[in-house]
Amino acid sequence: MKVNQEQIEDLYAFTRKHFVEWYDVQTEIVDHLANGVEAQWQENPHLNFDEALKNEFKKFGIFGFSGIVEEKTNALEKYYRKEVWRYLKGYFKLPKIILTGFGVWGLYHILQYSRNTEYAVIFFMAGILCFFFIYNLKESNKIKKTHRKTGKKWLFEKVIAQLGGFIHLLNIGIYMPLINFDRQWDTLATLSFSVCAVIYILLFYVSVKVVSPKLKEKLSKEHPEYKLSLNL
Amino acid sequence: MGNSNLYKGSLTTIILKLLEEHDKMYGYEITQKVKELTKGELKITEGALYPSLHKLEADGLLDVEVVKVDNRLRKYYKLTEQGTKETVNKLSELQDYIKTMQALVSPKLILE
Repeated sequence: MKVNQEQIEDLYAFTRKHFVEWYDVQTEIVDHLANGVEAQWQENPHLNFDEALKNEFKKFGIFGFSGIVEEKTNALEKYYRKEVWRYLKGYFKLPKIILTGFGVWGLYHILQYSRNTEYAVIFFMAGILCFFFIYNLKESNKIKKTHRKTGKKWLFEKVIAQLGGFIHLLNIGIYMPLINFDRQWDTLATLSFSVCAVIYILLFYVSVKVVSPKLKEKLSKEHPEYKLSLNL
Repeated sequence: MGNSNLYKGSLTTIILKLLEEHDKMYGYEITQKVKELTKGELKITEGALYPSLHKLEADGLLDVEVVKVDNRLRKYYKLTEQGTKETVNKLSELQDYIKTMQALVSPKLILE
């Protein structure tokens, strides 16, 4: 005896009820539960679907599916960050290192010739913060739009929206308390800031423009349903 | 043995070894295969299997393919090139470990 379509929908509802809101994670659990239910029916064909489901769920332990969601999130974030580092390293090798060096040199000179370096730094940071908020807003809206149109939420889209956890590091707002208008910017401080700022911009650029599209492409191949939702 | 914690550190190796022998496998199939091969002595829990699979996938050792089977979607795992190399390393590590344990548990057996 096989689990029917209606029961499959019940299984999706069951995972949602047990705090699995991500369709990509739900799908794997649903197949596992369905296989387990069918195996029980082979032993005992008269067993009720709900009873068989209850037996299968017990096998996931007292924390149910929460451990799976947490570990899946960690694994995806780790993958994302590894990919970012991999591409970022390319900016410190020839030929891209020339561009990186030019960026540091340019920023250093802008800051050095500013009347008040602290103001220039704040202006620069505020600019990045704007980009950061626009990106975050855009990605969150995309998740909401997909959810509205298809009823599905994808865990990897959340990971992409949060830049694999880099979002906390890239939220430049957390560095605002460091502002001090009386500070004197010597050569070393200006150069250090220029280097950090360029690395920061590269990290943001690589995450948004290189790794996120690559991850979306990879997952579109794995999940045909996600690919379809992109065309809606 | 079914309730033993001894196999926990070897779960990754078990998964890699099974995938080396089969072209592709899905989660439930892995649990059943282990049960069958060990005649029910070893039971991989669902709560341990999926985090391991997801970690191996994130490390680039496994590739994923989602296929519609009957009326539902099934996620298959298969070894990547890197995963195939890692399987050899992991198996060798496990074999060395078993030898060491054997030397500790029954030293006479090793001497003979």
